[in-house]
Order: sequence, then C-alpha cells, then structure tokens
Amino acid sequence: MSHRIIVCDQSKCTGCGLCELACSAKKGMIFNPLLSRIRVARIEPFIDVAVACRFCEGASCVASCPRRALKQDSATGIIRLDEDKCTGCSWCIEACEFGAMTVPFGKKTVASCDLCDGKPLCVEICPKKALELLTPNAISNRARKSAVERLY
Amino acid sequence: MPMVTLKMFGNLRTILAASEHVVDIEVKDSTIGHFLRSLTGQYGQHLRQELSDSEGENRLTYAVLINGRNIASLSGLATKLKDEDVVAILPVVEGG
Amino acid sequence: MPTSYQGRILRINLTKNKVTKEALADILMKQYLGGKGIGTRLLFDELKPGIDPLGAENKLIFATGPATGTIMPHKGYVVCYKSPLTGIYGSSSSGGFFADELKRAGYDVLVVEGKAEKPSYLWIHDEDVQLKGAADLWGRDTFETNSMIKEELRDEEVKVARIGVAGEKLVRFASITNDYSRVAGRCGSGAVMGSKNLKAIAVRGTGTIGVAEIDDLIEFVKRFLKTVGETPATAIAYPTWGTPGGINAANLQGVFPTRYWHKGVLEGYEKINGETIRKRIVVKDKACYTCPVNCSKIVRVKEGPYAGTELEGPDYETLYSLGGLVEIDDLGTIVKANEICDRLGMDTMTAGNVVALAMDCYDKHILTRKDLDDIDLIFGNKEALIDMLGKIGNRNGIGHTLGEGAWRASRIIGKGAESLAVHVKGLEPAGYDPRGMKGVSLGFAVGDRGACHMTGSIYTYEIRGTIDRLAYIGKAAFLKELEDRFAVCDTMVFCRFLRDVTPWKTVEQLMPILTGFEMKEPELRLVGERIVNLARVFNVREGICRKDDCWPERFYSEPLPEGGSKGQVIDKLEFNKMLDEYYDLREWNEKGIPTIKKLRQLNLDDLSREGEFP
Repeated sequence: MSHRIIVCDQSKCTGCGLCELACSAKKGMIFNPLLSRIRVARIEPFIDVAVACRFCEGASCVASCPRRALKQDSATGIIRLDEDKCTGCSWCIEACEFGAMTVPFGKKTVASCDLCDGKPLCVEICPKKALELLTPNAISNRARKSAVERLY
Repeated sequence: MPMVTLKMFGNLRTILAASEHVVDIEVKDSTIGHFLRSLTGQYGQHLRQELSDSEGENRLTYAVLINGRNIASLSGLATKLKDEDVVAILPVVEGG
Repeated sequence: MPTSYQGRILRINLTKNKVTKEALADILMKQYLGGKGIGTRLLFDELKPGIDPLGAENKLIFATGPATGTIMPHKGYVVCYKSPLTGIYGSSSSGGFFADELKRAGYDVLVVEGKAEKPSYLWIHDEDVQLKGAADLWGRDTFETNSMIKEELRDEEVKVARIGVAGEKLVRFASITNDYSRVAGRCGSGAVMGSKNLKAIAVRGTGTIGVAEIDDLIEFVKRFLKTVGETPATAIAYPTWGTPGGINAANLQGVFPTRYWHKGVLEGYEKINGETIRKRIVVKDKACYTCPVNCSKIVRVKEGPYAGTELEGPDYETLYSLGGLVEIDDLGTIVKANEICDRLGMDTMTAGNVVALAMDCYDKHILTRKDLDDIDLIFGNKEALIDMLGKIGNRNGIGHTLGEGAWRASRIIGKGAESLAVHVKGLEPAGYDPRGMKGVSLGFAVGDRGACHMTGSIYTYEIRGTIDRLAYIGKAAFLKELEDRFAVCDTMVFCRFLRDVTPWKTVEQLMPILTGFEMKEPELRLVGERIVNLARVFNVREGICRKDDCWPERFYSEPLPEGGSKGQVIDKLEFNKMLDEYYDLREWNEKGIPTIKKLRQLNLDDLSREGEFP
C-alpha cells in the first residue's frame, strides 16, 4: 500500500494544538478545534499525539455506511463523503478504530482528513515538525534506521 | 604561567568530552580571546561551530563569564586573564 | 467585518446568584486591547479604594485578548483583583486551554463578584450559566477537583479553573490552577476565590472565533513560527531546558538567592540545573495551548524517598524558592515540595520565602523549636520543608501565621523578624538578587504588584549580559521601554517567553488582521503607558508612593559574601538617582505620583478626583 498518511511523532508532539486550528481555518475559515479533522489525543500529562484518518485498506467506515455515502479513492486512499447521502447516523464513527471520523460541530454530516488536496496545512504549521506525510514503508524505514543508530 | 579553571555547560560539555566539568587549562596568552581561540584550535571543528558568531539556523548563543562577570561588561575578547580566574562558557538562558 | 473579539463580558454576582451578559465597550477594546489592559481598567472602575481583599467587595476579572482562540500563539488569561497578600494591585496570568474555552463559550471577559452562600462552583456551558453546589469538592486538592468536576459534568473536554485547600483556608498567596497544572500563581488570586466560597469555574465553549483576515493571519503565523524557530531562546534554550536553564547563569554570576537572601550562590546548583533535570527526571516536553516553545517539562522522580512523584515543572522560580532560599539541593525533595504546593494550590515562590524566613528566624533564635511545632527548621532540612508546606497550606500550627506571607508573618512573629523579612510592598521577590543586578533593583522596586519580575522582566537582559548588570546608568530608560511593551504583550495575551519575537511591530501588524482596526506603534505605546499608569494610580489610592519603591535596609548595607557578585550592595545614592530618572521618564512627580499632565495625555485625567494629582 502506498497511501501517504499524516503521522505524528509522539516524541516530538507537545500537544500545542496548532494543527487543529490550522485545519479548522482551512476547512471552515474560522477557529474552532471541533471543526478540525485532525485531533490531538491528550492523556494527561504524559501523552499527546495528533491523529488523523489513516486511509485504511478496506476502510471500516466505508464498509459500515448503510447509504454507501463514503467512497475511497484507490490511488490515494482518501475517503470522501457524498454529503447528500449522509444522514449523520454516526455508524462510521463507531466503526473507525482511530476516532478519525468526526462530526464537525454544528454540522449534521461527518468529516475526515482529505490531506487538503496534497499539501496539508497542519503538517506545514506544526512547530515541532512532529507531523509528516509518509507512506507506511517510509515510516518503518525511519524506525529501523533510528533503532540502529541508537544501538551503534 | 597562569592557570585558569574552565567550566562548561550545555552541549559544550559533550563536545569537549571532558570527564570532569572543571578543567585546568594553561593560559599561553593573557586575553580571553586568545584563550577561546586556543580552545577551538585544540578541540576542533565542532567547538568552533558551536561557539562561532556566524549567522545560521538554530545557533545557540553563548555567554563567556570571567569570575561571574560577562566579558561583554568587561573588555570583551580583549579582557585579560589572570592566574586562578574561573572562565565559564554557557548557553545564554534566562530563567523565568 | 469579523473580529476576534466576542464583544461580551459575562458577569456573575455570587451574592445575588445573578448572571448578566454585557456588551464589551468599544473604548475598552480600543484603549486597553484585552488581557491585563481591560482587566486593570475594569478593576479600577469597579473597586473602591480601601476594601478588604478577602471581603465580598473584591472582584476577580478574568480577561482574554484579541489573539485568544486564534492560531496566533498566545497565552491563557490574565486575572485582575485586589491582592490579599499585598493589599494593592494584583494580577496573574496562566497559560493553557481555559481562556480559549471561555472565549469560545462567547465571552472575552468574566467578572466574578460578591460571595456565594455556601461552597459552590460555576458551570459555564456556552450561553447556559449555573451555580452548582461544591460540598463534595470542598477539601479536595486541585487535581482531584479537576477530575471530579469533569466526571460530574460527564465531559472530559470541560476546562476547570480551581483552588485547593490553601485557597479555601485563605492562605494569602493561594493560587488558581487550570488544565492539568497551569497556575495563576502570585499575589493570592486563589484566596480571593476561596473568600467567595467559589471552589471552581468550569467552562465548555463550543463556539467559534473569527478574525478579520484569516488568510493573512495564517501567512503571518507561518512567518512568525519561522522566526521562533530561528531565535535561540525560543528555538533551543527554552525547549531544551525550560526555565531551569537559567540556574547556571544565576549561580555563576552570584545572584541566585540562597539561605534566605544571605548568599548569592547555592553550592550544589549543578544538581538542580537544566541539564541535570533533563537527564534525570524529564519524561516529556509540554506546551501550553498554541505555544511553539514548549518550555514546560513533565517530570517523574525515579529514586529516593519521593520516587514516583510526577510534576509539571519544576521551574526556575521554584528551584530558587524551594531550593536556594532553604538551602536544599536535592532535586527529588524540590519536586515533591513543588507538587505539594500544586496540590494545595499555593504560590511556590511565596511559600519558599516564608519557610526560609522561618528558618532564618529559627537560626537567630527569634523562633524556638516549640514555636515551630517541634520541627527542627534549620536551613537544608528536607523533611522540615515538606512538613512546613503541608502546615502552611492547611493553616495548621505555625502554618497559620506563615500563611499570611512574609510581610505580615514577620509582624506577627515580631522580635526583629520584621527587619529580616524580604519583600517590596508585601510581595516577596523573584529569584534574582538585586545587589548583583541593578536593573532588577529598580524593576522590582517599582513593579505594579510589588517585587515582581514580570512587569519589566529586566532580569532577562541582565542575566544574559545584554546590559551590564552592575551598572546603574541607563537602567531607568531600559526598564520603562520594557514595562510599556510587556504591558501591551499582556493584553494580547502573549507569553513573556516570546519577548524576543514580539516587538511593537508584531502587535501593530496583528491588530488589523485579528480585529479589523488599526493600531500603529505610537498608539500602542500609549496603551502600554496607560496600563502602567492606571495600575500606579490604583496603588497610589491604596497609599503607595516613593517610600514604598524601595528595598529592605539589608540590601543597601549587607554585601553578598561570595561568588560572582561578592561585595555588592545596592548603592542608595545611585538607586535614588535611578528612581528619580524613572519618575522623570514616566512624568511622575518626586513622590512617584503620576502628574495630571501625563494622565491627560493617556485619557486618564477624568478618573482623578479634584486636585488629586500634581
């Protein structure tokens, strides 16, 4: 699978939340973290990690939708919503193991990360460079190298 | 020849690879400027980079103190060193 | 045109159980901007001089700023009140989420007045505001209170500003805690809350914040973050070591207050400096909401009797007050002591000062072991420090007296304690000895809260060596410029650690993008002066003048015995020259009272009573 996903390096993330505000601004032209498609999971005080849609192969959300309102692009893996079909039943929200599907505050239909058409603003804004757009193989390459560096 | 005590802090300690943080270094010339140059001469590229004044990304600035006084408030690099002086090189960090 | 202001004040009268939502006057936004500006003006307008800070007439004014809620890095709220510790102007700030949540609920400012009949907490959920019973919460520490309220309201996203037992028992330096462990620390805002029977304020704000030019703001913030990443303090120093990074510089230069201000160096300072903390106990770097600097550290003690203790901290000021002043260099003990203060909800700086004062009194036989509830309170006694902090927070035994703060406690103790006590206007100083930092000697003497390091933060430039710390020349002008600029930073609200990257130009560029209105630098400078002068007038009305802009006698006569500032005192003649110069620059008279001419220039002359100002 060569879908690129937004990954958050837990050792760099400080929980500042600028990513959420960037997404909110990009998607809603306004500031409200409840509009963001990337969300920081905060388990006080030790853990802060930003999580966005991971474009799963055979995504559970897509499979779960009774109205087939969600479609996954085979090339990028990006999941897009047909707004007219969505009833806000939230079945997809329950299906997603990562909490990446949300209902933006004030709306009735769901939303998830669509990589901002190629150049995600959250990745650009992150002051710690904790967020990156990577393929799964690039992620494991990285981990392998840093494990080896630490050893040697 | 005068001896001064050198204290180092922050990343410098690892660069200078001194097992003790206080190092006695003989002073061949008597200004702090010469002393610092001799240090960078001895310890090479990394130290020179760390201490250099050149503009660059993420360059931490360092303060040089002689007996607790910043050389900027003395005569800068031309400040003379004397026997038993304590020279401290530390990253500029204030508290809060 | 959209603006980042919500345009509303939420006012809660606890006596009458009444909620009002008022429009935020245009003049407040234009002349005071937000944060410390609006907070100070409302405080001045709404409080009569001479009231009891622990009485129902005091108010707590929580103010956010134009940057709050937006993507422009900002810091929390400023809370303004009359200080129970000093009896004069009080204001504290705290980072984190609470301020943004309040603003998203729809309010720029929250005013809390009166006194609730019984222990209560405020629950603000967007438009819905309720006063709820806090019988189960009363007596709980700050961490428990936070989780219990979130559980009761069944919402993990609720943000809670709360007091601990210290605030309930009216310890005069009790603090307000929000989020995990962000604290509005100094001057006793927590005691004001406690005196109102208000245990906590819980907020949930689901609303939005708009700005005048969102695309411009995004581009501005991108450039701003790049600058942050290229500036040494914000890119490396604070993120790596946090405030403890300053321990080396302070000790090497002999200005680290040790043994209750009798010394300027703590022998074992390397055991508690930034490098050691990073190596031994730091678990994670933490940022306040929207901050790119992440100076905060989450730590866990790994060995010794306090193994397992977790803390957001310890910061420089705590390392000085619960380390240097009490002559303790054991990191585990200081972390534990910090944690105790956090749980009880009290200012670590004043707490360390009062314990060290008691140690000094014991050392000089002014206090006996019996007076101290049989504690052998010698300098360096780790267990004694821990014991005393518990007593103070709970106001048990000698803790009852010490909970009054150094100034009042010394008067109660008597027998010469008064001349030992170190404070200016009733506030104990921050961790920089003025004898080795002449700019600090002026800054702490004239600061609006007392011996406060935040008003001018001149300590920064003296510790760094940007200016000669032993020189008196030029300090008055340097300080004034800092005080004016930082007063404006406190309106936005910006964290003081962004000082290198928030010159006047930053605010000038931001205001139209955020709010739609122009504020050029000359006008911003007037805003800064306006706030400084208003706080001064508030204090003048409480009886402050030149006689209070000074240090205890020992700082003019007792030289530092060793280290980088050996032999230094504050030269009284030079100090008075600096003070005269400062008054001149501020256009205050020789008594330190603002002239009517200056007040007129700042649109403050209508506030003065007939003939009140020279």
